[in-house]
Amino acid sequence: MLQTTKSAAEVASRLSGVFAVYKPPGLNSSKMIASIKENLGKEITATFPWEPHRHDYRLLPSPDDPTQLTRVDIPSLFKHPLVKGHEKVPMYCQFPLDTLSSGVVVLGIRDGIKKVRAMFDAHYSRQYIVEGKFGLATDNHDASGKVVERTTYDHISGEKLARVVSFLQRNHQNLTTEYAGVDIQSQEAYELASQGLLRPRMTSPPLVLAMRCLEYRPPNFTLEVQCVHETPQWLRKLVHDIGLELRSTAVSTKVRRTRDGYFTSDDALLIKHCKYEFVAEAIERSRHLVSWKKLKPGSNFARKDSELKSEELHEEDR
Amino acid sequence: MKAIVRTGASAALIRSATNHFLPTVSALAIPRCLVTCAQNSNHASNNSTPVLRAWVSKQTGCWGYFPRSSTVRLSAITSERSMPAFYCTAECEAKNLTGPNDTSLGTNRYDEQHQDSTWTTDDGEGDESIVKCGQASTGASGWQDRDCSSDDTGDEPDWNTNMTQQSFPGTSDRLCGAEGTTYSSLPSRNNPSSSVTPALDFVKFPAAQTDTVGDLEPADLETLDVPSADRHQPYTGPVRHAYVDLRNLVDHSETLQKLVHLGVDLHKVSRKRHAANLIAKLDFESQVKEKLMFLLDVGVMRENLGNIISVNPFLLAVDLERLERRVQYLLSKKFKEEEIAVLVSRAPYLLQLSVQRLDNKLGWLQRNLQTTATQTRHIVVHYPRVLTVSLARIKANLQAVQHQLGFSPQQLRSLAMGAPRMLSRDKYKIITVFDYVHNEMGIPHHTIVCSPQVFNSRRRQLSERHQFLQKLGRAQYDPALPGYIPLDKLYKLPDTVFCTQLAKVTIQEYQDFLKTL
Repeated sequence: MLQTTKSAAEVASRLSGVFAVYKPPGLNSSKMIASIKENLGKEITATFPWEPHRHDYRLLPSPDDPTQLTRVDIPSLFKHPLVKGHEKVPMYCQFPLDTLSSGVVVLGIRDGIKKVRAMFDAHYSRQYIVEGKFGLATDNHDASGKVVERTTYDHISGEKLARVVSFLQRNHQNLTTEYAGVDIQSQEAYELASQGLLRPRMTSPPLVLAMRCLEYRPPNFTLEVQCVHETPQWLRKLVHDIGLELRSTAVSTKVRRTRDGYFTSDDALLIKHCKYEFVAEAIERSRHLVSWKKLKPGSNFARKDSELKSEELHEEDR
Repeated sequence: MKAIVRTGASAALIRSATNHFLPTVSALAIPRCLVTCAQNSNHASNNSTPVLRAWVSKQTGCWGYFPRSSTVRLSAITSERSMPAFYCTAECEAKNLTGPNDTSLGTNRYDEQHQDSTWTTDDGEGDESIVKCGQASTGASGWQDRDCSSDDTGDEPDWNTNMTQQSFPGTSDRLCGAEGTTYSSLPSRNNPSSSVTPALDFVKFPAAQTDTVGDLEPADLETLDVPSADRHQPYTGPVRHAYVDLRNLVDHSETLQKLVHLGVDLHKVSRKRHAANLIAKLDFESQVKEKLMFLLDVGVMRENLGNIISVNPFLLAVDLERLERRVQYLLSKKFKEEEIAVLVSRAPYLLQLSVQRLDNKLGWLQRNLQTTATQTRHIVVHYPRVLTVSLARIKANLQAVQHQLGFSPQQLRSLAMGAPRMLSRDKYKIITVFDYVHNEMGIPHHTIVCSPQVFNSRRRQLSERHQFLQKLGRAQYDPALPGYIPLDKLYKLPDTVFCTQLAKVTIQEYQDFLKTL
């Protein structure tokens, strides 16, 4: 795919699919996407040659015999990059991160935009690593905000923190059954729950599916959160709530998305690597992660193919 | 009454517009820019000379770009002083009608607003009464006097010599006589075509009409964008779009094709407000070629020609003698010829500035940085855009660096000499970089002064590398202690070299770390 005889326009129109990018903190998400788009377009225009889409002809006096007119073919400059601008690469992001957070962001190019939009209905879960700090309360729940309150945190032990975290997790998990779309008293619900597939399948408020405390070095603590339908600001509010539960206050220092649906940070490209070759390769690599089977609304993380088939059979029976 | 006036005005405009037709452009392509230039050509002259040549041969008031649809407001149309001076040649300037605008040419890229504000003030002075003509002319003449005195560097040619060169029958007399003739309260001439004031002259504007009781105040007309009262007319007002399409013209115009083959980015050019119009109307053989040959003579490389014209297409409209005069001035200031070639290629707007303005800027730079002439030349050669960027920015940066960041004037001077590009950088970026380097990394002022290019780098890159070094335990910036990491190597080196030399790890490790930030 590197240096064939394709023209820039052809290459730009063929580039389509879904890939993930790692967004650094402090970068506006929409600016990042705009700059990736532009740089990709400019790079494609620069590396691949331009081919005229049409030739006009002029009748000019021929050099040998001025009375005769010869036909001279002139390529049409209508689609020349210096006249038209660089090739455009339409890109879309369904779940952007805000400026202060960082992590995996899934982008779709051209035909991949449909798939990225379908991710909204697939209700994927996302995994975050949230770092927080006790003793402060700010206006935007982040350490960079304006400090509103200072509290003590000496009374907080690791055990208390773990207890509060599991308490919150349990509360949220009770709610997930509501939005799973099955009657909690039914056999189906039991089977799904025993396989661990009882998850929200419809639009719901932000819910935590699993949460645990990774590290606690007072005053800083680190949580790993698997959640659904969330925003990074809601996670900061969650950190604030944890602080309140522990009779103190907390702010988040870092919100980092390590997994967005099936895309992990290993699949994600750094921004400096968003060149045509790398992007094309990343699209190929992650093509199996966005098959339409996986994007079906209500599809879960089926661990075995047999389970998925049995689920489909159940649905057909109904 | 008002409605009739407006229809009459617009109908007359359109009638005069249809008389003009760009000879070089095929009739198939009628983009908006064509409409603009047709309408905005001097309505006064229904002469046989086609518009293009008329434009070339110093037709005054030719650039009828009005920032607002001023079909009824005679003052805007008649006040040639308010026309942008880009395309008016020596004769126009000789009459100093577009003199004041010439001084702002250099910053027209950034001071479009400035242009418009001069406009508003002019039009604000002459208010609703249609006796503007007289006022406009007196205003113009007043301005001319001011400019006569200020532009007395011998830059502009004499008035008298150029007046005789005027090949045009009617307009020169109009203009020269514009100040002279005392206008009665109404321009009640019956010939719409031959006067400077366009085709609205035949319309009588009784004074009573100016105090309106109708639906629209004359003041509203400034802000309204109504092309005509009945709205069945095509829009003949000025083009205000951010982007004027040259694509439709490029296959039909030899000039545009040759420019594209030179490497001029027409897409970029058409993003500038007046540039597309200008480029479309140029004739390669007679106008563009001489300017390009001049640039090659100055020493510009062939490959850079396209870039220069893309960045500053207005260079093609500056008169050749003025360009030569400016280059002479630079030579007189002891810039070498190779240096001037570099200056012109890297700062395409440099030759757009008049000699007076160049002089002012060089002087200002020297005074404020307290540098010698050689040092100033060093700064200019290393960063030519310091002369074309707006002065306010440089001023703000100097203030910030000295008072907010706490550098002494001598330190500031060495920063400016070492990294002149920071003079025009965004002030807040400089402040954030300094904040990170001084407060987070703990590097004192005197060490920062040793590597001034840090102010051209990005805070995010600095913070990523600093945090990586901190994690490895190698973040040591004190020259006295072992394992010292120089600041300029921190941001200048590419990632691979940074990893192997400074951090002594693999590039993969650094990239994995970046994904944990």
